[in-house]
Amino acid sequence: MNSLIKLFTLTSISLLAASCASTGVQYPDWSGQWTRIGSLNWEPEGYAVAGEPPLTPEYQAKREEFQRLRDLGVLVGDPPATCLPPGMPRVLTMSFPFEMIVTPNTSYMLTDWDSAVRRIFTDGRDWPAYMLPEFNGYSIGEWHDENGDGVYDMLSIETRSIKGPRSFDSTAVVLHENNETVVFEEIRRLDDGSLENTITTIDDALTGPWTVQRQYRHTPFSEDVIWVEYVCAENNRHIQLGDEWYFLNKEEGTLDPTRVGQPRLIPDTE
Amino acid sequence: MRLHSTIFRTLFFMLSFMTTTASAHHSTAIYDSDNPIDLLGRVVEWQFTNPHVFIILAVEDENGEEVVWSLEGSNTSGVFRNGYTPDTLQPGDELLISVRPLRSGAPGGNYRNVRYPDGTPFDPRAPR
Repeated sequence: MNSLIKLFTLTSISLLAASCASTGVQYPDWSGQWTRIGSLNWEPEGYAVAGEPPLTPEYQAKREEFQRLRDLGVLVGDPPATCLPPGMPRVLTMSFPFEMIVTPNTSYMLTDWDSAVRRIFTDGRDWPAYMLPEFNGYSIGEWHDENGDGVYDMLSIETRSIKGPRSFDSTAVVLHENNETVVFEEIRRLDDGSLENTITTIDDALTGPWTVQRQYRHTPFSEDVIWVEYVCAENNRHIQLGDEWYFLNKEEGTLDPTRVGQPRLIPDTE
Repeated sequence: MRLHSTIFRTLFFMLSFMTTTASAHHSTAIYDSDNPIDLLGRVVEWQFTNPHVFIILAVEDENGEEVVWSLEGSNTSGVFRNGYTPDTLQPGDELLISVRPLRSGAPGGNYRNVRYPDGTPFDPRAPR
């Protein structure tokens, strides 16, 4: 996997050299609201171009086992079901709208999913000696002026130190439990109305890099733009206890079964 | 009262799958989409919450006993954007709901198509 990461890093450095040749380049205004174009998952739009993630035999078997269990009513292979964050790269599906705030040293991706902040450092820093793993990882980015008009129009990002467990999306495809995932992004302003993110994931659950694209539609800043708080713990009904999953019946105060043959758990209040 | 019209059931589920891409934060595979049911009942509470809004529906079963169903929908972000608020539904409102139930048979599920008994749609997944 290290050679793959080096290849992508070298590509990023060459792009950076091209962009740094120009001086006085302006930072773009990417304010407003961005919403995903397409479905919640990478498929069908992403798979149409990239194909399915090329899973190793071990992780393909894991996916098939998860699907078998799901058909029985067990909600495996989907960490956000228990309110864990989606993490990288799943957050980039953008189930919910997001906002981009661009400053010279840091760009901020504010996602309505989990009301979370993702920081992308563009101050030229190197990787820290130690990075505490986080679900969105540690991101270093570089701005590029691809069309040479004096305004940056592409942000390339490399993200490491990503915490798990994570899944690519809700289709029971999980990333490797060693959490050595590295994600490369190239976010481009296609036109006034859209952004495109080209996302390459390198992970030991995959036999090679997997590149998928996602586009986001723009709504300019105005008082009509709606942002909504998202606190998953507020009313999540999906509870995991060991290998068992339950549906929290708050109305009756019980943990209800999700699969046939599973007992209902009633608290002993005496 | 649980309605058992197969035609009714099939029609509403075809429509619901054609018109929705649920804003779920997780897979809905735990719900039995092959065996949907229709529930007619009275709203106990509309929980305008995350990660999902819930319609808590009191339904009379075959034995005349009241069963309270917890029915999961999408999320406040999508529902609010579509023009719905916590006051749009009131306790006591009667609704007819197509439900993908939990596979275990417990009184929980995922609602897919909601309408008033006269057929007027109540669809938080579409602009109001």
